[in-house]
Amino acid sequence: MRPSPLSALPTPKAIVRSSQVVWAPNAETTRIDRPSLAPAADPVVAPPSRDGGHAPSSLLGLGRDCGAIIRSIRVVSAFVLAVASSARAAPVVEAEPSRLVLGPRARAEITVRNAEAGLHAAVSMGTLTETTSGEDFTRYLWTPSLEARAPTLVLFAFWTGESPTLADVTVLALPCAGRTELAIETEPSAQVTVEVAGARFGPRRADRQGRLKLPVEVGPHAHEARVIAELADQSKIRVIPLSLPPSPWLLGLAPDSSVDGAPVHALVLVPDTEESAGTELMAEGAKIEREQESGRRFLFRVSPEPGRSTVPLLARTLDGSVRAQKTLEVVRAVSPSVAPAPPLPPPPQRWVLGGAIGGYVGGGSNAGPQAAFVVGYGPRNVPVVLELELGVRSQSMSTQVGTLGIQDSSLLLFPIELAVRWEAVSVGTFRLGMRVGGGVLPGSHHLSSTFDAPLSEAVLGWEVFAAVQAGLRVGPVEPYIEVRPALSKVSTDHLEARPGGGVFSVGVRGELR
Amino acid sequence: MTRVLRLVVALCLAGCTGATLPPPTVVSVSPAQRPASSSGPVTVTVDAVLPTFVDHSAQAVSVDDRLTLSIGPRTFGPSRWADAGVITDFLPSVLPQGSYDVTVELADGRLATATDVFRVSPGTWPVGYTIDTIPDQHSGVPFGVTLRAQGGQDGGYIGTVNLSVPGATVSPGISGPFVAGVRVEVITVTVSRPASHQLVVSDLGGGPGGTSLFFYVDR
Repeated sequence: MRPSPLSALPTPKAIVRSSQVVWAPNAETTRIDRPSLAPAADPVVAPPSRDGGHAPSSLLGLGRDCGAIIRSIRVVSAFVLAVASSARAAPVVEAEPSRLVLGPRARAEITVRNAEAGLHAAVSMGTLTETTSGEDFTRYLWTPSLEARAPTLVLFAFWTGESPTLADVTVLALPCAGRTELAIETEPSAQVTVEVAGARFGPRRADRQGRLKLPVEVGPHAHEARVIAELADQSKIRVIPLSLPPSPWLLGLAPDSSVDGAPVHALVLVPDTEESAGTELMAEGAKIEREQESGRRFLFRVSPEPGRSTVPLLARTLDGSVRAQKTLEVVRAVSPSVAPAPPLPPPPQRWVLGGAIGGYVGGGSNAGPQAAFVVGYGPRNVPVVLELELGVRSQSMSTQVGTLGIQDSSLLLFPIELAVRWEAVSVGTFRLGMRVGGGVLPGSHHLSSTFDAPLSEAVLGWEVFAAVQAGLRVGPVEPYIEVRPALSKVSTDHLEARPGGGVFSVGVRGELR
Repeated sequence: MTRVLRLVVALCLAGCTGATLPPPTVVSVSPAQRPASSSGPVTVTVDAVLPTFVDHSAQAVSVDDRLTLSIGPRTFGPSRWADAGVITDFLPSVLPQGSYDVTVELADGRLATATDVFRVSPGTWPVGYTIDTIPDQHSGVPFGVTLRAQGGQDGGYIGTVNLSVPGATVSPGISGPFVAGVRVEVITVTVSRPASHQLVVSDLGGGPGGTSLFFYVDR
């Protein structure tokens, strides 16, 4: 008996008549006709042909006496059966459910436990997506390909590290059954039951025209379907060999890509449903070496040839049937210094650093050079900056005192001031700002003369000021000039000074990034 | 920031605005010792910060340079600061044997005393003095008089003597230093009515001193 070629057609909606079964997703009928119910010489179902168009005249016959009970079988929609198996112990892999029926809502949750860091996963068909991970588990969601309807044994592989051996790989096989509906033509009112891989479907009675439809599920390990037709006290069993499409192989790479042509490992897993002999891995532009073999598991070493950017890989049987394919990417090592860091979003606040030098004139001997270091802080979106200014000022005078001699007086101050700067105008690169502030003027006063001993004393004065600044934005910095009227005073028992008045300075500042 | 504020607060709490002026110091006395019967310049070196106020706005400096310096009970030197605190003055032979403090006081009351830094040893005094004849004089008109020491130390007396005119006033009351036992002193005698007077000289030695002949002083 020739097996019934149940292999999937290129398009699921195609209708296969008589000798072909199509895994159609939604109730599209495949007919297996038996137009004549005449007594059959061979009561067994005629084997369907492989050519897909010309069905034999009899599919299932029940003998001359009872006539043909089953006149035709129509296969509708998809089918499925699932058996799950887990291969290795560590990491531990579980699938929920352990078997499933292919369809639009088919999905499985894969949980991996006891895995070390650097967990890798590969699957022979469909999409595997990591959903959650915890301290000791990682959970994936597997969904089949949209076009998958035929029974398939889906293989999963999990390992850690970039250079695993076969002993490091945990394999999970998830049986996925296909669902279809058999349209059967038999004798009127016959009772029909179908058995597939131990599962029974039916019984269901044919209508007055001898027709009935019976949904069945076929797993990847099924080899035949038994059709049992009963009428009155007669029954007939027919066996239909099933020829399922081969399940795809798993072809995984570790690591996923080759860095500068470095060898990678290729993992090939062959499902136990595979009937063709032999396994080979073919590559274009790479050297293949078989490193390990254990049953239906193979570990190859793939060494890309120099200059290759991609290496197509084919896993196939010895008769040339391709079961899996993948492309190995050869990437160039990227120096960390070359990789530009992604720009960080600007912080909500800003820090401004600046410095200025200049001088001041306050009348009399209240004049001298001054410099300041300014630290500013403010919200980025508000044109106001709170500034701390740390400065230095110096002034001195020398006076002839009667006949005694010359008296020198020098004052060195270190202003510590707080200010608020308002960036009032910002047109293009031009900036105009206002500042108000005040602070203390600590420092020292030194007296020396040609006629008595020198004296140094600490001083503490004060200052309040308002200022106008004009600047130009030049790249990351802003040079500016400032005019600052200031009211200040420093006095002791031996000194009175006003080290302010008009302060003029030029400076530059920039925002910290 | 916090550190700066702490510094400022600490400065204020410590009275940072201004400084208390240090007291003056007597750095040296030269010579530090001499006989009671000699006279001559003595140099006292003082270190001090004079009370000073500087106004940078007015570009003005005021210095209170008043000074009081004394050696023992005797006021010494000028009344104002001079020569960067190196005070030199003539000290007559008016201090008897003993040790004397040197005291300096500034205008703001700051005071310094160097204890027993000037010592006076016993002197060799003349046995007497002779005074050359003094012609008639007019009251209040200076005139010269020659004083001669008799005996005493080798090389002649170099001290001073006290001058007095009984019934009249004479200036100065202490002569300048004798040189090799001779002193030509310019004195002024003031009388209330014309009369004859004598010039009397004496010293700390307790000797007989000397008395001139009578001379007439009119008005």
